[in-house]
Amino acid sequence: MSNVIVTVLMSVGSVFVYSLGNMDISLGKQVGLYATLMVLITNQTGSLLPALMLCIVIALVFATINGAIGQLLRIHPIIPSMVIMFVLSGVNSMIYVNIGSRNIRLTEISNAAFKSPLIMFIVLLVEILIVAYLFRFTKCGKYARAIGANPMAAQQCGVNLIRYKVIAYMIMGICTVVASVFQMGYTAAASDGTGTGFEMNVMVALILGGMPLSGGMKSRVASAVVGAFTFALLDVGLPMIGIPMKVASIIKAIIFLIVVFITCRQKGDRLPR
Amino acid sequence: MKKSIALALTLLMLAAVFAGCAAPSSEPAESVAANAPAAPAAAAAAPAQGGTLIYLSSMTSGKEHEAAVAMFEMMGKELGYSISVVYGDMSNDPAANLQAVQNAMTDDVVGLIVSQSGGVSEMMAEYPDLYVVGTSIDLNEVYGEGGLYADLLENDKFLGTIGNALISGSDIGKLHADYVLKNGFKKVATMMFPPFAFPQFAAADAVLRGEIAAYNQSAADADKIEIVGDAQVLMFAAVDDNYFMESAHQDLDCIVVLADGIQFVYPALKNAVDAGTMNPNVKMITGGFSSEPGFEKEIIDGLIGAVYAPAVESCIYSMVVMDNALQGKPSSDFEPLQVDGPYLFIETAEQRDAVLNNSIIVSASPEDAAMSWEEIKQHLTRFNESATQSNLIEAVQGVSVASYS
Repeated sequence: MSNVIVTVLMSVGSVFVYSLGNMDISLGKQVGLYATLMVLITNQTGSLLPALMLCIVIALVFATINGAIGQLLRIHPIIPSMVIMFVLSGVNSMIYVNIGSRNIRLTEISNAAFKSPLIMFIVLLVEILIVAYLFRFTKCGKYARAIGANPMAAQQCGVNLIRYKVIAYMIMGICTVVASVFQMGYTAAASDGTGTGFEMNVMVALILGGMPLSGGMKSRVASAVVGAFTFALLDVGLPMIGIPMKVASIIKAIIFLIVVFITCRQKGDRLPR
Repeated sequence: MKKSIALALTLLMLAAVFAGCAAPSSEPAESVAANAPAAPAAAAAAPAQGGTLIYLSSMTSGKEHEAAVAMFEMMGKELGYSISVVYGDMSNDPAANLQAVQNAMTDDVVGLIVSQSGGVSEMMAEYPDLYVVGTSIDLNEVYGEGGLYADLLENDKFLGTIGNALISGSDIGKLHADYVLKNGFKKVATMMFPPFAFPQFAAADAVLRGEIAAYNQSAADADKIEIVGDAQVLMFAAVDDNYFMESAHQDLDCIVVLADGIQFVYPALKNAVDAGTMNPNVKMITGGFSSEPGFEKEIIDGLIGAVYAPAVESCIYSMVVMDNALQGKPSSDFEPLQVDGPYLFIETAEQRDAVLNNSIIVSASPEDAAMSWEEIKQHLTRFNESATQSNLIEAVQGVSVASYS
């Protein structure tokens, strides 16, 4: 259940960034760092709150770097996220080297609340509603889609590209912190491998849901929800009905290819948006 | 219309996911027990009549994996269990391992055999009626001082573990030091997996250095052994080619690899020797094993002077302990111990040939195991009421390269 909720929370948060036509490949490592910090700090303080606050601050810093650097240096926005991914990979390794273990466990508070389906559902619903509202009815969402559709036109219309890109990454960062709480809470533990590959899960989920990778006006929050649940159903459902893992991976790949083929087909002489 | 259908389907999917995948662990223990699959509950009350054993493997491929699966399937068939193999997370992540087990969970699962440590405690919390035993894993998280999962020792469903070869870093260090001293190497370097993941290798490295320092104290100057620098830590990645281009390493005559050196060191070493930047007479003593065609000449006669590899027969211990528990007839001296696993130390051509020609680690056929089914039966209390754990340990640990000769 928690792996489902984590994928959905992250995918919903990523809608803003994907609508820009960008992606963040440091997401998985960010989840690993946040989960680790939550376990360590909560064990020290007896409360999750300080860890949560710290993780949100760190997420906002990463968001600023990811959102602004690409625009400022005129480089592809995936590059700053790649740098952050490598840095976080090193930081995570150093933390566990210093601890002297590959796993750490939450001992000071119970994780029962994080495994409650009701709480998961409420958090998910609240996040979807907030993100959907921001995306559909506020300048942040409208400008993000406008930038994804045509950054030059958006800029000429007076949209501050750096500001709205940073805001998009910040929304994703906060959602990633929320997802990390449930990732850590699932087993009340974190490890040097926590979060590995999550960025790919998010990307696959969004594409399965019909999110255009080029961003733009056709970006929808619903794509994230539908895609993430479809991905989770495939991820969990195929093994549950007895399909071996190796075969399940092939089936997932085939479904993924079919969805990409359907959603990204070219219409006339226009590129899909 | 289309949007309404999409919305309805999404809601249906949401409801199905929440209903089907809801975690019961947040409920009180009584409720968890009530919701648990019927078979495990029955297993606790009466001898198990078959069922499924989940084998959480740390490997996904290779002869060692195939051999372990073949052994479990052979024993499972004889005892009436089916074996469901699931693959643990490469990084041993607790959540990923738990998810792998959850995905494979069915009503007839009666036990878990794990060769990954991450998430074991959470698995036992999630499925409190299932017996759990380790195989080819030291489970230091349970047995180590201040271990992360030390509470499992108080859980009567936890059946202990058998290590992936020797568990004690001291024993591993002595084994490797003896090889270095016996073969008269003079300039040695060591490599190992990171201590945070494999603390026993750091201990082994320290013991090896201590043994050689002790030897040097009484040795003539010409016979002294130099250990070059600190151990090179392999962060689960191959050693850099540049390592063998550094002047301090080019004339090494022995490299002790406390890791899977065949995968992580051999390719770079071979390149360096072929390029002429490395002493061609260097010998590597390493963990891991390969039976790839053409590779055998590298063992003993080539760059690999000795191989230290776990023996697949360790899975016999896990299956016997599991079956005895499921039958409600643990041996009279049973304790959930952490025991050394059997290992193969190949340092001569005869030993190499015996392993290559006659062992299960190469053929992946239970017929080539060092213990036959008839011998295994002697340790199962359903066949032999007087079977003891000490005899089982002795028999399994007795497996060595000599068993295949």
